[in-house]
Amino acid sequence: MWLDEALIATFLAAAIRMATPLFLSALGELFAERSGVLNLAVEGLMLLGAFMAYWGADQTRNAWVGLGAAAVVGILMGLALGVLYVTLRLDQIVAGLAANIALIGISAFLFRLIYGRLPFALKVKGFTSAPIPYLSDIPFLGDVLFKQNLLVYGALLLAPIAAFVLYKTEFGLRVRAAGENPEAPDNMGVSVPGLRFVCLAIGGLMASLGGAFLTLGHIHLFVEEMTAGRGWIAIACVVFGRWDPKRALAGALLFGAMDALQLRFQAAGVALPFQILSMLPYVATILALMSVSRSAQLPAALCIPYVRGER
Amino acid sequence: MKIRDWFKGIWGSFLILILAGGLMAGPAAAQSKKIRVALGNDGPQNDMGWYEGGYRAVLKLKKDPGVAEVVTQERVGIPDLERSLRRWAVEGYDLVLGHGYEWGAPAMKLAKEFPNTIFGVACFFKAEEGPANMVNYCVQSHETGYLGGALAALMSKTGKIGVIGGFPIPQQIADHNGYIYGARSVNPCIKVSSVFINDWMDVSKSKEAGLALIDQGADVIGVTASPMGFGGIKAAEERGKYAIGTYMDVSPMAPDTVISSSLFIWHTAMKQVVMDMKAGKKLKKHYLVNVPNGGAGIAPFNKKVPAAVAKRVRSIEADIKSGKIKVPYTSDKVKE
Repeated sequence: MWLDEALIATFLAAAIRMATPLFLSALGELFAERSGVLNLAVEGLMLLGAFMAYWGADQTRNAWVGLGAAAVVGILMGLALGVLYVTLRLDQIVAGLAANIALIGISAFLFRLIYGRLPFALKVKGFTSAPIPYLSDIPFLGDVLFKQNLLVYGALLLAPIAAFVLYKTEFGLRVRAAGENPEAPDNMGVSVPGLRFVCLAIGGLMASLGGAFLTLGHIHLFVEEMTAGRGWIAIACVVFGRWDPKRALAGALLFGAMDALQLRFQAAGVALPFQILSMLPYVATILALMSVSRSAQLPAALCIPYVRGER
Repeated sequence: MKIRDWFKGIWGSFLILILAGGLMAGPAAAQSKKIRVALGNDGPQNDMGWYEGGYRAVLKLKKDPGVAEVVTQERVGIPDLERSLRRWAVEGYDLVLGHGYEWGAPAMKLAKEFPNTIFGVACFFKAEEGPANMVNYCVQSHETGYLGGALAALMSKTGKIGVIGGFPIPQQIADHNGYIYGARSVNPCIKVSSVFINDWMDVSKSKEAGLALIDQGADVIGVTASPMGFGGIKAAEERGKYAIGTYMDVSPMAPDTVISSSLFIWHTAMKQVVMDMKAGKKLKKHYLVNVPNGGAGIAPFNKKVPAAVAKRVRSIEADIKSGKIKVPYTSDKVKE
């Protein structure tokens, strides 16, 4: 049964679908961490993004407006977090956890304020499967890759784009310098707080889009706490990917694949206790982290607020 | 010196307030015979499912004679369950309810400490092992699961059906087992797959579980928890299959997909606890919401369900009601 080509294709397609929100959020977090800020509020940002996307799409009956609303709010929230982490130089772990709780609460508050009286969850118009002409006709590969929705294609394209920005552009060089040795860009007359603000805005934007994928690209509904820990997995993907966009994509895909696999094992009635199957993605993450963490080089200035002239 | 005096003043007025409050509250609580009820939810009380069911039931309880006051708290974190229960016990609530299995362990502990407070925990059958003031109130979802399974098996064309649950707690497993028994009762050859996604809120993962089941040939998807279950319903809707909802009639969500839902009226059990407390009777250990006592059942069928199938499921329901069919409660997963 497991060698059936169609079943393998649907499994791989599910793995990519399930990896997409993780990867989008991980990419934003990667930029923030590369610039020296550990942002732990990814989960909250995802939830707020998910809600804003839902709200925007519901108000205008247009999924693109929803995506835009999530993007704008994500950037604003990223900048607001910048005030905590960069301007006020708060402890990034404590401030991040607090902001995370606040963002989760805000998303639930807004949901109840606007939709609380409805007897039933309202479905919104979202992105549905958009097969790419010609490419989707390729046997096997077409089913896996080219019958997804637009957000999935966008996310997959972002991996090489992010790698290019990070490694081949002046902006990327400055970001990496701000995370490794903030004195260097400062000596060059480049504002370290400015760089970190921009990277947090990217982090907020991407986490918000990761959440928006769940509401607009997958389920077309909003439920409180629907991200169910994906923000934390996204942070793990960054570490797993050793702060590199392409490897972070690999981490997200690994997690997505394990999750898709365990659901299929359960559905097929594989004679293993389902508790073990549910553990699979997490065990895989731990094993993967164990193998890569030996060579993991976290940005040297991560978590350290930059104060000019201070050593 | 000034600041110190100021502090002394505050401290003094605090003490006076506390003493006054204690003097006033003490006799008042002793005289009042009306029951004060507190309900804790460890999730959002507008989830269109489990938590909301409990919340709506206590709101209904508020209007019952003999109930003086109802307070609720939602989204209590798992580490804070005991603190919530303790606060209500200290504040003198007579009936403290924890709406979920998770509340069981802390409630057992506090029941010994506060012998005059009644602690009720939803679907916590271990209450038997606790003191007399510890009760379980539970939906017999294995009975509605049985009905859902029978309906699913009768509606299936492929001979394979699926069921998606939240966390594999005893109530959920019993529900899935009921679904399997019910399906087999009408079609002994039916293949039933049960999947747990290990979350109550993760609609997205539940949709993926539904798609995995459908990819493997299932054509009716039952869900046993909410809001997680909306994902499974969405998967069925997207692929043009059927779904069976739970806790409330969820057909407005997907009118062409949802063929029925399990229904529970939690108020049935809570009211019974309150009535027994008022009457000063010895409390039972288990207060159940089930098909025989009218607290549980299956929602009106979708028009896509043929009349013969509808009639058959209703007759099974009537048989459970009359006791002719006894659905076994098993909290170990039966073999698929």
